[in-house]
Amino acid sequence: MKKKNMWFSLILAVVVLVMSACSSNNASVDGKKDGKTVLRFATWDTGDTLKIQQDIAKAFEKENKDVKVQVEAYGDGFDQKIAASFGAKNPPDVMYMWDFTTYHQSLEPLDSFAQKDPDIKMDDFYEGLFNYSKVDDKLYGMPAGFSTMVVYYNKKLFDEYQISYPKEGWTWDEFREIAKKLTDKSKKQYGFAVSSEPDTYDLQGLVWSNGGSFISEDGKKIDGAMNSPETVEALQLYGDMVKDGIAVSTGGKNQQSASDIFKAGKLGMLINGIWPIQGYKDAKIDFGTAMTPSFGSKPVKGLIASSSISIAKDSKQKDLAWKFVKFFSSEQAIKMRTADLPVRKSVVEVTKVNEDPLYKPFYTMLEQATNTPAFLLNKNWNEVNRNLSAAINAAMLGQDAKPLLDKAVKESEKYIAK
Amino acid sequence: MPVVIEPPLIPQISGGDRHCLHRVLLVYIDELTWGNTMFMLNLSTQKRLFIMFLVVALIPLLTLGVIAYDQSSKVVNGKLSNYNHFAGEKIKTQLEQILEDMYYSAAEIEQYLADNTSVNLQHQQPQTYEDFKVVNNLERLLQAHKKANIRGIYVITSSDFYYGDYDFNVEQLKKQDIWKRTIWSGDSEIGIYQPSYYKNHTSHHVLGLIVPLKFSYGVLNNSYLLIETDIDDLFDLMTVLEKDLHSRITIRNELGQLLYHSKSAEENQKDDIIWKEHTRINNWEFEIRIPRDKFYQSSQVIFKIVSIGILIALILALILSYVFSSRFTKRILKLKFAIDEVSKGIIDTKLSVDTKDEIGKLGLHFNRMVEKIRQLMEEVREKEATKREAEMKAIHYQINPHLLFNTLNTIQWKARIDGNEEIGKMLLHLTKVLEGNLNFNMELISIKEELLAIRHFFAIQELRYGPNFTVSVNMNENLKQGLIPRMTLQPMLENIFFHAFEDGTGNINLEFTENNGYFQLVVMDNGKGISEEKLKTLFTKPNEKVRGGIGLYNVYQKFYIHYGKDFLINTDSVVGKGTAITITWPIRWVEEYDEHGSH
Repeated sequence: MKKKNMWFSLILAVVVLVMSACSSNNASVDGKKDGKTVLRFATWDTGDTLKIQQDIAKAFEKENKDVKVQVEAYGDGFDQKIAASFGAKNPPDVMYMWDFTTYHQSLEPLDSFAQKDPDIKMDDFYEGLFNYSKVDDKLYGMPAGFSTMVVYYNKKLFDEYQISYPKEGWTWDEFREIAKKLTDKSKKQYGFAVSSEPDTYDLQGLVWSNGGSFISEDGKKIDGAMNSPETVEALQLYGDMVKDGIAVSTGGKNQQSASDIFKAGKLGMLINGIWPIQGYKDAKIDFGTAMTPSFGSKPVKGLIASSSISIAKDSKQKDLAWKFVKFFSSEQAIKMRTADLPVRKSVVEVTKVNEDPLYKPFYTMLEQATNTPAFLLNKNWNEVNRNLSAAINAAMLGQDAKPLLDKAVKESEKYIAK
Repeated sequence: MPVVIEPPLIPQISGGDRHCLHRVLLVYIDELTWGNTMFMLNLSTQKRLFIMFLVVALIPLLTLGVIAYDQSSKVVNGKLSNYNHFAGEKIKTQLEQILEDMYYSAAEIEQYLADNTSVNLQHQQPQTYEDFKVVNNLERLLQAHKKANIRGIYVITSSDFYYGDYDFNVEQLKKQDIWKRTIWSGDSEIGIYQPSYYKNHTSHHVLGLIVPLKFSYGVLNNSYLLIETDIDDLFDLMTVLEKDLHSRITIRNELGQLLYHSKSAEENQKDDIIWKEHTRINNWEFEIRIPRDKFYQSSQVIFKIVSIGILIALILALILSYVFSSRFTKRILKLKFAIDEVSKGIIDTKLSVDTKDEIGKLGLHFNRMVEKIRQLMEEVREKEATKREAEMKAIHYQINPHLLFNTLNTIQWKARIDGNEEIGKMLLHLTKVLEGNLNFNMELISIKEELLAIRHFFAIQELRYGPNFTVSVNMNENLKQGLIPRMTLQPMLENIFFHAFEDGTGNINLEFTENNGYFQLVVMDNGKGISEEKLKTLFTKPNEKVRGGIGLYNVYQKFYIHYGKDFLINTDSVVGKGTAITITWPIRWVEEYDEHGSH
């Protein structure tokens, strides 16, 4: 009896001690969460477009039950954070990418993955898109989405001022006339919007259309390209429209964005990619799209803004990352990506999106997108671009573009010299 | 304990006599335990055992329970306290780090802006190529200082133009409290607030620092530098701390103004557990306050668990104590019932003994004792039966003497009247012999009396056979007071006359001696002797159907009744030469017998 009780007490004591020592084992294994493999995916998108990517990630998780895709939305700080993570050798496994000249050394070449995986059907993609994710003929990113730049116009305002809608083959002269008609400063209503501090990349379509460029085709000369009369004339066009008051300066400090003004119905026309199209629809603006105007008889040139999806060289699970990349380029994912144009021809053939009048101009512009953007032509483009930006920013205020661009060329020569 | 014990007499304690005190205490304790024992003695064994087992079970149980509670709550509270300190320290350190970073960045940027060679703006809002270049560099510097958790760094000029990221609204900033304070004080201001001027603001709480820039030259004079750090992480941490420990966190600046205070309905209590520290930078006061009961909540949980555990154990102990004590006492009760039965006379009671412990041994001894008693009683009963048989016979004989004596007297008178003197004499002796024979009052009589009694017997024999025999008695005179069962000699003498002698011719020799506490009587004759086989059955009970031979058996019986087995009858006979019968029995004297024996 005594013994029994001793044992009982001992057991009780042990139980109590065990209960009180509630130390749970929280050690987590690297890269695992809830027993699932974690795949990190970084994007610069926010808002609706981020939502689309999260949905795609969820669809991927559905197909791969043991995987958790951690979507990391870096937003404005994307470049900074990606650069930092590469430096720290702790990058996301998969990430959005466009600036391959800067980052390709931290990325995994995808050629061998694509070769080994015939399911990917590389020839189904628009060929031109691969140019944007190749460095030294190596593929560093799979096309995720792209857009060309078109003119959006407010049909209601056009109707109001009895202006006929833009037609294919219209010129910048016509454009200026229309913009002038649509401008009513008393209503804070403008015909066109010019970004006060534009991304020089976005202006290349304009420059190319006038036969100009920022850099020679071989990427070795800027003098005579960046400050050529054609380039100057094209940029001066924008600056003058601001100076003349028929275009509103937008997007700068303390300025509204062009899209906000357009959505408010106070803007006749703007040039933009496909990204905001859902927002305009949601704002219930009656709008149309048209290809960009031409400089007289010169051919209109299109500009592709593409985003790709890449795998980090330091990723520890590249096969899984490739699986995700492949999924992102799959028909299923492309159909979910409504804020981009489909990167696969087969999808376009099925959806016939290129026959939708709202989307048709994007495809027309795509056909015209034959020039190579400057950043792909010279590895020091970022440095050159800073000077070019300063010159263009000043020019967009309506100042004389020629001396500004000359100055930019002069100060940038050192980056181009071998 | 219901019994009140009067303390025993306590002797006067002479100052400092420790031994005495000790003894007194001992006495007192003795008394207490005695009282206890008295109390215990009043209880049944089962209850006593039950209480004892319970006490034995409870002492380690309670001890362990108390130790377990004490230790585990100590550990848990210690850990909680450590966690509290750790978390507090972490928040404080993080806050310090943020402040340090912000001040450092602010100083760095201010220096850069003050440097005319690096910042040579012509306009507050950039106009020229050079302006844009300068602004580009300036914004790159701002960007460079924008570490991971810095929400934004902005330079706001006096014309409300600003440098920094685009997603910013100066007008909204001017509505913010911290801006107003800066304008009012003209000095650096720092605060924790929720900014409303970001276009897509995802962060909710920032730590903001505004530094007025006073250069007295250049276009950036009278600008303001704003640095904001995202402290949502810190808030998350504080929320966790608030939730986990039910704590309230208060941060005050050096002037005692509230910067942050946990939303809580609870009032500050005096006994709250408080952890308070000051930051190195700015000397902010950082306080974590936890209500006492919340802090000790986990030990209360432990206490509950331990209590429940002890309670369960107690119930178990109760049940086990009861079961065991009743099992133990059941055996004692069985023994008690057995004893009761024996005391009632059911002597063939037997305990089944299946254990070898003390109680088992007790049962074994009990069984042996009962067996012995049973044997003794058997013996006594046998003796009693013999006695009763003798008594019955005696009663049977007692009935007749009157008639017999009356008849004999009548015959005697008739003979005297008729003048037959010989018959008269014979009848007289016969009457004497019969008197002796039929007197049952004194069972043990002196040898002297016995010898007197047989004189009449011899007289009758002489009348019958004539003086053909001789009788000699050899004995010490003092032995005449020795005791002998009545009618011992006569049956033997009758035997001699009937069987040994022919026509009453022969010699009889009686010899009384005393040896080693025993009398010895040897009756010797020179008659025919007895054959060996007959000799064996001489003193045994004769066959019922055959008449006679009862006399010698009666002799044996008389000795047996008086002395048990403590006597010896020995016969020795040679055919044709004679027989010697020797009887040895314990010495007892007449006086003794009168004092104790007779009724």
